[in-house]
Amino acid sequence: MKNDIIDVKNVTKCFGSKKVLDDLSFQVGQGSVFGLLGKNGSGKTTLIKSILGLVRPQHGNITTLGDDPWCFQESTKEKIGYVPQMDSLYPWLRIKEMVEYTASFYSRWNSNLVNELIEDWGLNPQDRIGTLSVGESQKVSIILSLGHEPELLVFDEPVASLDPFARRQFLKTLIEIITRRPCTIFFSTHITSDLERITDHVALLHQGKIMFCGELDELKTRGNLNLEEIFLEMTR
Amino acid sequence: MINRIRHILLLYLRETSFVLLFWVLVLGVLFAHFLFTDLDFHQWLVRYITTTQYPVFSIWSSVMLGAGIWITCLLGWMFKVQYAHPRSSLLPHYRSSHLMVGWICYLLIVIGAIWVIHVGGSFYQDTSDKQFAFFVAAVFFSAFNLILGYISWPTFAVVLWGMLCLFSNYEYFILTQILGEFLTNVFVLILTSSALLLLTWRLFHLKEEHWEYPYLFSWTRTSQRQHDALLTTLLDMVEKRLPSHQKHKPLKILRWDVLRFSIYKTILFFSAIILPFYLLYIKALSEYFLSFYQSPFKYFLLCAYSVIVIFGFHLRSISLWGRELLFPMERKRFIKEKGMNLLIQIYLLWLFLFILIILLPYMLLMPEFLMTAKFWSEILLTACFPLAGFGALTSLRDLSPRQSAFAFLGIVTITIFQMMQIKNLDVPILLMESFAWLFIGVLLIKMSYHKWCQTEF
Repeated sequence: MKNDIIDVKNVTKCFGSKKVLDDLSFQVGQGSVFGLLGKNGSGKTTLIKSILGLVRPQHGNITTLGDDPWCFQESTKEKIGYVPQMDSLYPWLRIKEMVEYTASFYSRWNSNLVNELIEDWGLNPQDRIGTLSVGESQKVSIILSLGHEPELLVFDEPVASLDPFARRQFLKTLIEIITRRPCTIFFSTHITSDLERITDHVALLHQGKIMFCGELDELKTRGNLNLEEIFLEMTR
Repeated sequence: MINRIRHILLLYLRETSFVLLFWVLVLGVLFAHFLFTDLDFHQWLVRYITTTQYPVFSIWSSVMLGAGIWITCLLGWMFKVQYAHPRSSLLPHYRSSHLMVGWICYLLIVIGAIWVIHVGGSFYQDTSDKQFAFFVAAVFFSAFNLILGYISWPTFAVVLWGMLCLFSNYEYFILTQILGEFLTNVFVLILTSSALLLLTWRLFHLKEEHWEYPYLFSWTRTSQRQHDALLTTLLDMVEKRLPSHQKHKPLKILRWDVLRFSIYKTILFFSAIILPFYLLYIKALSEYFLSFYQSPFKYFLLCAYSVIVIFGFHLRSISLWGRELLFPMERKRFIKEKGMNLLIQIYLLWLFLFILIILLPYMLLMPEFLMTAKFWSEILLTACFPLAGFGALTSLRDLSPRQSAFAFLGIVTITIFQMMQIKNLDVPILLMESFAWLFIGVLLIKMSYHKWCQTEF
């Protein structure tokens, strides 16, 4: 499809003899909020890294924003925001300095949005990164990924280390971003309630294979089970 | 573009090590300037950098050169940190900007090195080949340190810095000898440029998938296991040879530390590689090393370095002691074993340095000295002093990084003063002083042991 932001075709990735991704194929359409659900070790992070060109699959093809992820053009990078599972920021910098440093790489930067988020999430721009808790560091990572208003946002379990309040705020921010301008969001999680709140498409990953990929509503129509029960049922 | 480069430079300059280094250099130069106001500043600087016959002067030039080596090593290490993160692949212009900054820093360092050699170079600039050799030397040394920092772990860079600092006064003499011939100079220049270009090209493309990534950015699990297995097997052999009643826990805790800290693996690994070259180097340039070995500063590493390095590496782990105290072990015994473990590690490093820096070069260059009582009494003094240093450090009220840094500085200062007078001391005095340090060390350790038994973690 022309409007696919991410196109994964027959992707297989092995680490040694272990097959982490096994012949995966799916597409993520423009403007959709795509949730990737899977247990620990199911291959979520490897799939995200492959989509972003951080690792290279042995077989298959991936196209992200119409570009080959392994050798992204600079213009494509301008359109991507990424929050890894555990980000390593520079502990000696202050939040403000970290924001300025990151902003210097992008041709476009929404300082108002960043400042708003810093304030809303109760962060002090003068605090050093090294003194922040894990959850606060994650908030900074999320803010940094939003500053250049990317077309594609990729989150690898972004809310795992956030408290319930920050998690709610994060999801609220995502909904605001989606409603404000066209943006595709791809995020992995094992928290099914988050998926139900914001995603329209979902993929269930189990032992490197896609067990389901489609609209969330379609999945929900399967019996009288809720998403968590369906997930547990399918990955048993 | 300029804004980006400015921010990258600021990122480096804001890093704690660079900030500290900056202040050390500024305060050092100011201090030295006011101390020797009778000399014109420029003249003074020239003499400091070039003169080796005055101990005070040679210390300062060592500090300056050591700082230069440290900066380049740190810079290499900082590069590694940049390219180990996904942002190097996902932020636009990230790699090219960092590489550009890297090249700017490298060229500044080369210019600095050329200036240092040039200022003090009237002695060497007798032929055009020699002049060319200065440039090659600066390019080579700056690139060497940079790549070393890049491929190493910061811990190893620190150890290496100490080693190189020791020889820093003499490195340009040695280089002038090596790089005298025009063809040799050209060869070294081509080699250095190729290495730098290869590094630049690799950094531009490096990703997690490439074979060298785990070696550069994190020790692979497999190689870590191999090193662990080798070292723990060695420890097992030592433990088996001990009589059964002496099979005490320090070795067990040492084994945990071997598993936890990479420094031992790295030191052993690189030592095994460089040792043959090092010995050949000493043998080939014996006349320059002889002048170094006649100065008492060779003992500096033995006296202060082992204590500071081992303590420095363990500082962070002390915060884990609260959890480890939950192990089924009596508190007093736990403290005793932890202390013993630290002492064992200090003396293992002492022994390693003694063999590498003193014993082997002496065996090659001046074997007759090994038969004198003076030599061995000096060695005894260097063996007793770390005990007092260890006692002093453990006596501190708390081991916060700031307080430890001041204590380290104190140990270094006392060591320097001790080194300055060691040459004039006779054997009985040396023995008495050794005994005094031993006594002080034991006393301080005894006192601090009781304190640590009551400490809250």
